[in-house]
This record gives sequence, structure tokens and C-alpha cells, in this order.
Amino acid sequence: MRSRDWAATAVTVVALLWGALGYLATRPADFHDYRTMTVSAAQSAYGAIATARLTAGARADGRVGAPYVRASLADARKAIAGAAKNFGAEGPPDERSTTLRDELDPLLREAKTALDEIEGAADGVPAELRKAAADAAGVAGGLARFIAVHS
Amino acid sequence: MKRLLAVTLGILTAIGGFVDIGDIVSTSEAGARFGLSHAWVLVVGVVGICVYAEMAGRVAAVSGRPVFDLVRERLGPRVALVNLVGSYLITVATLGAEIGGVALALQLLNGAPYLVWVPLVAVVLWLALWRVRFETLERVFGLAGLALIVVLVSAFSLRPAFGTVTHLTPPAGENWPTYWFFAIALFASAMTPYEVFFFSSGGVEEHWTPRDLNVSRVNVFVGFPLGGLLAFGFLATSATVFHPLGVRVDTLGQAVLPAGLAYGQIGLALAIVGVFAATFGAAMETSLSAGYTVAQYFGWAWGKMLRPRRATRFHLVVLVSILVAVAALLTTIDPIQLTEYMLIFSAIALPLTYLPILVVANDRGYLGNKVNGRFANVLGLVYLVIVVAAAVAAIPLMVMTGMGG
Repeated sequence: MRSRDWAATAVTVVALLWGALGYLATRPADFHDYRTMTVSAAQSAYGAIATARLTAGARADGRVGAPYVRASLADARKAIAGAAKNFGAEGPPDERSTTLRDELDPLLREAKTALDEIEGAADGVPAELRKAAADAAGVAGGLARFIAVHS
Repeated sequence: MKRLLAVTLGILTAIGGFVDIGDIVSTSEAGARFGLSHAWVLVVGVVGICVYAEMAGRVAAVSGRPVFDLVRERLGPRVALVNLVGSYLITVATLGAEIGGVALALQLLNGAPYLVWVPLVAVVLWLALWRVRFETLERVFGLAGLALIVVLVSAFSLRPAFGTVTHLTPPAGENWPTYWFFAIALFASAMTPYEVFFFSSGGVEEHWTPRDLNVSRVNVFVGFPLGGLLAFGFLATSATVFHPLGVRVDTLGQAVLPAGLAYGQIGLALAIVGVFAATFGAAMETSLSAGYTVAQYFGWAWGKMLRPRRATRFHLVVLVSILVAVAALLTTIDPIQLTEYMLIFSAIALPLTYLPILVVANDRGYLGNKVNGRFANVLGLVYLVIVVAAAVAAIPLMVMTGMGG
């Protein structure tokens, strides 16, 4: 094969790949895509809340220091904000997806509120921090159930 | 005593090379999602890096020249250029991830955002490479990295389900493509190309001769398995704390939390200091490796042992590599995600690194009667097949699983 043929083959392969990627990137989302996105958002939020609860418990027991708690809760806040952003960026394509949205939306809001409470209690007395962590169990459970049912 | 100190080269390579930010997060994430079912990959990775690092160390000790230098000479400038481009890009991406890892460790220690630390870490890194003696860097960061032993001890005190080590299947809720995606990422993190280039160049810098072959082998067979054991610590602690909760691990803070749960603030502080030392050590290795590969390809004077004035182009490449890595981080790209991508692209480039090493290690013109024996060649070929399989499967699995979904 001459070098011109190699070049033509390479250009064709690149063009086909480019086209395939373009199609995948721009095709409208269906229920499956929407479900995948919502489960992913729920997983991020659940991981953030569960980790925040572990961190809060450890802080209340004096097992981790304040700087670590600040950094860890900042990561959790970022994860929940990222999940909410991804979730809000895409509208539901059909009715089934709308049901999913209506189920997850309040859970994400509750997760943010629960994290705010943990952060607020982080510099207070251990009992308050333990209470905030315990209060977050409800939303963590809700997110875990959402993931189990829809993944 | 001198021999003992020489072993610190291997420890530094292992701590910095095997346990870097990517390993910490990828082993922790694998443990959280798959329990201990990926432990076998760490064993396969440790044996693989030992096989090829032993060859690279032998080449350096017998020929007095680093592997990359010989690759260019033996396989020609074109093949070596492909190798250079692939290795250099991956090494600079790794460098960015390591600097990000150091900054993240500092964030965990004092709470200030990691991006504030990035430029400072880069300046200290450059000054350390410019001004501080090689042996001092080895000892300080190699030994400080041993603080990560607390993670391994925590793994035992948290009582992971060791019986599940033999469960080589994905747990409920996970699938085979994701299982293999993580296996490839873990394998690639163990066999990162910069490790062998750093190891062989470091051997030349330390003026290894054939009489130092045993030192080289002790470095390889003690240092790399130790690194693998520490990586297993992260896998096991994560499998114990996060897997039962169904929590995914994707931050450094999560990875070190089990040490705090097991041993309180002292345990947590040791783990963070260990991560700091390991990632800083890896940042030094990757910076130097970037300089080594480019300088050795173009035939420039190179080396940390040379005064900077005598190896200006080498030091310039090191500096530029650090600046590129910092610029990438300042775009606010997540260092953890950067590392995850780097690992997958590293997997693709692995054959470019390891095939030439196998060829050079069989060349009597360089190694005389110290060429590979039958056992080394069989292992080398087996690992070459694994490396090629990982390279071929990496991208399809990345697409199928959405980066491990």
C-alpha cells in the first residue's frame, strides 16, 4: 500500500470516528440515558452524604481534626452540587423520566440541607454533630433505595 | 550501611511510583466497589513491574547506560521517538496528578483549598530538584512515605473479609466490563512507564556497575512488593469501610479516612503525611523522568548529579514539564480525574515501553553474558502479552463503562 493510500485510510477512519462521536454526543436522550444520569447523580449524592456522616461521627469521637473535616465536607458539598447540576441540566424526555425526576429532586434538596446541618454543627459540641449525622440517615436511606430500585 | 542506603532508591521508586495519587484513589475506589476481588491484580502488577524493573536495573548496571538511551540506539530514532512522545505525555499528565495530590494532602492537613497550594508545591518541587542532593531527597521522601504503613495496619485492625480475596467476580450491582476496566487501571498504575525510566536512570546516576546487580535486585524485589503491599492497604481499608455502605470513593479524603477511624487523629495524620511524601516523591520522579527521557533521546547531558550548569537543557525540560503540569491543574481540572484518564492512556502506551526493554535486555552487545535467562524471557513474554491485551482493551472498556461509570 502506498503512502497516499495509508493517508486516505487514516483520514477515513478519523472521519468515521469523528462522526460516530458526534452522533453519540448530540443524539437526544431517551429514558435509559435519563435513568443512567439520575442514578449517577443519586450515587454521587449518596456517597457524599454517607461520607459526611462517617466524618461527622469520627469528629464527634475526636478521631479526626477540624481541617480534615472542613476539607472532607467541602468535597461532599462539591459532589452534591455537581450531582444537582448534572441532574438539572437535562430535562426528562418522557413521562417515566418525569416520575424519576420528581422522585430524585426532593432527595437531592434534602441531601444539601442535611449537609448544611452537618457543616453547621461541625464546630459545635459533639452531641449536636452526632444529631446532625443521625438526621442525615433518612436522606441517605432514601438515596440508597432510589439507587437500588432504579439501577 | 552504604548498601542499605542504596536500597532507599528502590523504596522511593516503590513508594512514589507504586503508591501515587492514582494508585491511592484507584485502589480505594476498586476496594469500595468490588471489595477485595481485585487484590489479584495488585499481585500481577507487582510481579510485572519487578520483572521489567529488574531488566532495566540490569541494563543500567551492566552497560552503564539508561534504558531509554539504548532503546534509541538499538531500535532507531523513529521508534524511539514514538516511545518518547507517548511516555513524555503520560509522564507530564502523571506529574500534574502528583502535584495535585500533594496539594490535596496539604488541604487535608490545614483546610485551605488545594488550588492555593499548587503553585507553592511546584516551586518547592523545582527548588528541591535544583538544589537538594539526590540522596537527601531519596531518604527524606522514601522514608517519610513509609508512614503509609499505618494504612496497612489499619486494614488489619478494621478486619476486612479476607476470605473474599478469592472471589474473582464482580459483586451484585456491578458488571464484568466495569470489573475489567478497574483491573486494567490498577494494572497500569503498577506498571507506569516512568517507573522503569526513573529506576534505570537513577541507577546510572548512582554509578551502578555489574557489582551492584544485587543492590539493584534488592531494590526491585523489596521496594516494589512493599509498594504493592501499601497499595493493598488502601484496597483493603476501603473494602472494609466503604464497600458495605455501597459508597464510591473518589476523593483523597475518603481514601485516608479509614486510618482515622482505626487509630484516631494520629493514624489520620500519619496517613496524610504518608500520602504527602508518596505523592511528592512521585512528583520528583515524574519530573526527573520527563527530563531523563527527552535528554537521553536527544543525547544531551543529563542527571540530577550533574551541576545544573552542566545539564541546562535537562533542567529546562524538567522546569517546563512542571510548568505545563501546573498550568493543567490551574484550569481546575480534578487531579483525581486527571489521574484516572492518565492510567487508561498509560495502559495503551505500555507496550511502547516494555517491548523495547525486552529487546535490549536480550542484546549481548550491551549485556554480554548478563542477558535475560530463559525464566526472565518467559516471564517477560507473558507480561508482554498481558500488557498488549490491556492496551487493546483499555479504550473499548473506557467507552463501554463510561470511565468505570
